[in-house]
Order: sequence, then C-alpha cells, then structure tokens
Amino acid sequence: MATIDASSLLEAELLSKSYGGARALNGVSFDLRRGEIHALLGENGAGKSTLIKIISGSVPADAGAVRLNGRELRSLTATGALAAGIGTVHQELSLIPQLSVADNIHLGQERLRVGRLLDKSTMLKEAREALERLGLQVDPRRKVAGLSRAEMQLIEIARVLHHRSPVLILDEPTASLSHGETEELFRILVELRAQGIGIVYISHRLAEIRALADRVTVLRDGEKVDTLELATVTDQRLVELMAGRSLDKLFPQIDARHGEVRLRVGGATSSGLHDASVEVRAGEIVGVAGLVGGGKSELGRACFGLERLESGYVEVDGARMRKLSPRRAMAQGLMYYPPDRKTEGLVPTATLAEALSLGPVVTGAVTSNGFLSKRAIADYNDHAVQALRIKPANQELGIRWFSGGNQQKALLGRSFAADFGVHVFDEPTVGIDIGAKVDVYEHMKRLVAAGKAVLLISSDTEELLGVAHRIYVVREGRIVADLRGDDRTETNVVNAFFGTSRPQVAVGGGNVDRSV
Amino acid sequence: MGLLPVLLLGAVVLFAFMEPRFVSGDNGINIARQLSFLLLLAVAQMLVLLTAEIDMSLASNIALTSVVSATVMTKVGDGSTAILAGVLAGLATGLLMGLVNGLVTSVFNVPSFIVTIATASLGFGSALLLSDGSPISGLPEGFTTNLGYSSVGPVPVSFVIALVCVAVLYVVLYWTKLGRYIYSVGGSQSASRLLGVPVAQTKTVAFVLAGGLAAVAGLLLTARVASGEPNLGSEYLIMSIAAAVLGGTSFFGGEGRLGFVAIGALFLVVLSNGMNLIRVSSYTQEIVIGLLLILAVVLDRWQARNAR
Repeated sequence: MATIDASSLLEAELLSKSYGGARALNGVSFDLRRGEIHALLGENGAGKSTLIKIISGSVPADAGAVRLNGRELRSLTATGALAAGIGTVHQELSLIPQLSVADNIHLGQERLRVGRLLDKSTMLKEAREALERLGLQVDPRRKVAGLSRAEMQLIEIARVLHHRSPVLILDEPTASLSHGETEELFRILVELRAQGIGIVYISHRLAEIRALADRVTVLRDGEKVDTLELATVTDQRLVELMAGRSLDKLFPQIDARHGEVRLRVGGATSSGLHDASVEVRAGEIVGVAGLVGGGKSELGRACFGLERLESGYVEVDGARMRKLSPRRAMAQGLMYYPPDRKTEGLVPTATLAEALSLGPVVTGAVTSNGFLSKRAIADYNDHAVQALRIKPANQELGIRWFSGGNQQKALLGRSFAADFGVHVFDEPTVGIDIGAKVDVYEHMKRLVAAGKAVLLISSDTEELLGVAHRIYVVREGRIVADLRGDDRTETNVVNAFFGTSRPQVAVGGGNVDRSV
Repeated sequence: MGLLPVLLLGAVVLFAFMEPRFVSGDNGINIARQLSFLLLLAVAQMLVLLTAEIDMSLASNIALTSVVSATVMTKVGDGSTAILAGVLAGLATGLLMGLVNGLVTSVFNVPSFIVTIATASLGFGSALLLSDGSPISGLPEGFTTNLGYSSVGPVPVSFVIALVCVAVLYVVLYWTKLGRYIYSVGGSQSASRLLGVPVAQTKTVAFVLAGGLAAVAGLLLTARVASGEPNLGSEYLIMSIAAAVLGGTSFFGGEGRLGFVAIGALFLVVLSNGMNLIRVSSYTQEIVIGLLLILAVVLDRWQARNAR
C-alpha cells in the first residue's frame, strides 16, 4: 500500500438532496485522502449514486459543501468538476458511438494547432498512450459503435484517466467486465493510488472492495452509517451495516420438484445460436452460463421471438409456437424479463403504477372490452408492490426516480399479469444490491414452488451455483455443458466457458440422476 | 406546465385592462368559437406527439377536407342528403389521410416528420387541383347555418362539437387500453414491444384519430366561411404544435395531459383574440407565436433534462 497522506483531498460536508419530496441524501459527510481507494457501500436507494452525482456536478445539492484541496467548489457542473480535477466514470456509458475511440477520449478537450485546426496526430498519439496505460488492445481510429461493452467501459475509464484528475470516481466499473479485465483494472487502480490519486470506488461486490479499498463508507437510507478502515471490519459486519439487519444467507434454499417439461427449445439456430436445445421442467430453476456475447442472451430472446430462428422450435407445455412474437409467447404462457431495464425493460416516462400495470393491461387481466378497470389495476399494483417489496411504495412516483433494484422489481411486476408457466430471466440482478437480490430470488422461489419453470440467464456464476438446480453452459452459440447435481462447480462452469477441459457431463449425456 | 396558467392569467388581465371589449359577452362567444377549431387541432397534434411522432399535415388535412366536402355537397345538390354526403366525405378524407400517415410511418418505420410533410404537400396539391385553385361556394344553407353560425343557448355549436370530441378523447386516453398503449409506445417503443403492445397499430390509430379530429375542424371551418377553400386553416399547423407543447406535451413522446393542452389552446386563442382587439398586426402576431413556440420547446427540453 502506498503511504497515505492523511490530509483530505476531497471533502463533502453535510450534503442533502431531495427529489420531488423523496429524500435521497440526508446530511452525509465524506472525505477522500490522497493515495487512497475509498469504497462506497450501500443498498439500492441508500444514496450512493446521489452522492456521486453531487460530487461530480451532475446534480446540485440542496445543502452542504464540496471541497477539493480545501477550496470549496461552488455551483458545480459536470464539466466544471472535471476541469477542477474530479473525473467520474458513471454506470451509464457516455461515449458517442459514431465517433472514433480517439475522438471520444478527447471529446471536449480537443488538441488544436495553428489556425484552430484539430491536431489529429497528437490526439491519436495521446489516445494510444491512454489505451496503453489500460493495456487495451484497440485501434484508437476505430468507431466506438463496433466495440464490446467491456471495451467501451475501459475506454470510458481511459478518457477520465487522460485528464489526469487527482480524484477518480468509479461507479460499478466491473459490472460488464470479464475476470481478466477486472484484474487488469485493479492493477491500474493500485498503480494510480501509488501515484497519489484518490479513488472513490462503488461496487456491490464485497470481494472487490476487500481486494482494493483502504477505507469504506457505508450508506443506508440516504444517511451515513459509518466510515471504517477496511482492515478492521468483517464482511459479515459490512453486510449487516448495509442492510441494517443481519442477513443469514444471500441465496434462499429453493427445493426443486422436477415435474413435466414446460419449456423445450429444440435445435435453435440463428445468427447467434447453433443447434441449441434446452428443457426446463415445472418446479425447477435452470441456469444458463456463458461469456458475454457467447449466445446465452440470444437463447432467452429466441424464446420470446426477439431472435429470429433459422431453424429449430420453442415449445411451451408441449405446444409448439409458430411465428414467435412477444405477444404470442405471452399468450402461450411464457414471460421474458430483459436485462436492460432502461431501454427494453421499462417505459421511462411511466409512473410506478403505470409500469406495473402495463403488463396486465396488455394481457387483459385488468381490462374489460378495452376499457381499464381502475379497481382491478389498483388491486394488481398493490399486490405487486407488496409481493416484491418495492420501495418507496409511492405508486404515483415516476419510475425513473426509483433505484436500480426497485426498477428491477417493478419490471418483475409483470409476472402476475397472467398465469405464465415459464419465466425467462436475463441478468435479473445486475447492478442491484444485496437486499434487492434476495427479493428477486425469493420471487423465483415462489414461482418454482407454484410449479412454474424458470430459466435464469446470468453472468454471475456464484448466483447460478446458488439458486439454479441445473446449469447449461453456452459457448459460441452452442450448449457445451449441462451440469447437474455435484457437477455444478465453479471449476466446471469456467472450464466449459473456455472449453479448456472436458466438463464432467456431456451434452445430452445419459445422466439420469436428477437429485440436487 | 407550471408557467402556462400564469401566462394565461397575465394575458387576460393585460387585455382586459387595455381593451374593455375584451371582457364582453360577445367576445366570450368569439373566443369560444375560435377555440373550437384550435382545440380540435391541438389535441390531434398531442395525440400524435404522445406516440413520439408528429403530424405536419394537419393544416393540409383541413384544406383537403374542406374542398372534398364542398365538392361533394355542391355535386349532390341541396338538402340534408347533400349535407350528410359532404360531411361523411370530409370525415373520410381526414381519416384516410391519417391512415396513410400512420401506415407509412409505422410499417416502413420512417420519420413521421418527413412522411407528414410529404402528405401535406399531397393534400394541398389535391385540394388545389380539385378546386381549380379557387373557393367552392354555393354550399347548402343548412350546413353553413347549423355548423357555422347557430348556438346552443349562447354557446356556438362548433364549440359544443369540439367539447364532445375532447370528452371522447379523454375517455379513450385515460380509461381504455388504447390510451395506455399510446402513452407507453411514446415513452419507449422497445419496452412496449417487449410487453406485447402492438406498436405499429397503436401509432397508426393515433394518426387516424388525429386525421379525424382535423377533419372535424375542417368541416366546422368550411361551414364558418361558407365555402370549400384550398388554403383554409394554414395557420393551424404551428398553432397546434404550440398549443400542445405549451400544454406540456413532450416532443420525446409519452408525456402530456389532455387538460393542459386544452389550456394551451385557450391561451393561444386568448392571445390572438386580444392582439386583434388591441390592433396588433397579423405580421407581428406570427412573430409572437414563433417566439412562444421556441419558449415552449426550450422548456420541454429543460424539463426532460432535469428529469433524467
């Protein structure tokens, strides 16, 4: 660890912020030292994002002050904060897809030469250096549009690093990074710390915080619970501070029943899938693992008619679906929950009430002859809010004001819209905190107990091992493993990812032991 | 939206102060009559804006409706058969134009801004061809008197018709499945599609309804001027957009309330009526409308940014 200069680099004093009457942050103070990695920890709605948005100048505080090197920063804007030396990488990517990597890195800080023309060669050279610092093998002349999400994330970080800000704020930077990319990022962060840069690091992954951070500040319900030296506190204690209660286990015990086959995909072939066959029985959760871009998302989309099949079929309760569309799939009893809450999952202009009730409006559960039954809608919404523990329970609040976890739960609200026999979840817990994750798992548990079939597509191997009774591994569009029982181990899953060693159970292998 | 009632109140107080005739009963009837046309067009535009599209052909729709209905009426002859035939032909014209706008926009997934500019040109051209460029007079008296000049008590018939249309639209928007679809499609097309909302169908229906509302306005205006005119209602395109956006309808779709848009229309009518009374030239009035529209979209943008 680098020697810590005990003087504060960045100080936030008694920051408060309310959104339309909902208090997001209440008198929170926070300080960051030179050469320190300071983790921010808290459940969804705890105020982490709001705190970061204030410090990085994207929203104004209602009260309180932010000081950098003892100097107060007034009427801060996003560009003002960056110019003052606070570089932020937000969860949402802010790159311009039509521009090149180099142009994106220099955006707003273009190098000029005589005659105010762009100095393209210098910009290219600097971009190359910025990418090299991150060990990123990308041609800076390439358009951002064609890059993977992980590459975009790293370019976003490269852009901030390029400004050589003394303060670096990272909001869930590893959410879409692979293991190798994450390690590379950590190596760079440790190096930056040694150079005296102060880093605020937000993550839900305790292991990451443990590996990186010097101190941790825990937030809950918009207030600061404590700031602690990480060496002095256990993971268990951190979770308890965060939740305000003790959480025994993240993954609930979910018993499998293995009834009739409710979902069967046979020989599905499309641009992203090659002869993929899966089946899910009543009363079980079947996981789908695989690398990003490997075809696991396409499998879920294919079930809902969002991925065009060149050949193959999808059957729900034995009925084969023709000309698949979301509408037809829903009518047959299949519901799909997309991974991207913001663009595909929710209508951003809706209130919570509208977001919850759109599903049953479509299925006709709360309408008669095309007219809305306001009573039925209210009952439906009340039930969903209670069953999924959506907070705050203010149904007239715009869905955009809810935290990621509660938006996710609002998305799951459509599961009550009809008696769906099959539920396909794609990355249902990405970017949400532990408390919300538990609620999502509990929801799945209830579905399974009611004899539904659940297909869980996830990049979180721990999650799959924790809740899935069976795990398919997808690589390059093919099902390369079907792991059951004791074969469900991290090693087997990871080996199947890369095809490094033969998994214990071959595809379609005659393993008849269904006990888990 | 917060600004609109203040603007309206300010305008009323200002005009009342400057011109006593502004607060007379006769002028109230005037305002009601002028409001009936704009109200129909403003809610028509709002309906389309809610689905994150725009209808640039509303004014052209009025002109074509006017010419078609007048042609049919004069061809059929006199009496109630002619009136009925003319009204039905006019409504069909407006609905058809909306259908073309909607189908081309949603089936081919092209920007409605371009599509409706094109159909506006089609509509104006057809209106000019059909009328040979000059007004078609000699409409049945029953048509011009009943729709153009008579009243229910002190209230002009045109205003009653507009209110009935708005009331029906209110029920559609807030009490039916279709209304929910219109809002959700505008808020997010992809999220709506993923829930099985028929996106193309919803957009098409919004355009058709808007076309129908514009046709009603076209018929009322035709009755008022007692002739089929190929250049009728040209000022109403920008007014419809201004009223909808001043009333808080977002250009980005999914946001806007019917009641507020009605207030937006009322504000514009009060403004133009008052300016006429205090003899502001029509040239200056155009400038004022333009400035207001800029103000409205800037406010819309600003609200959208703050909402993020």
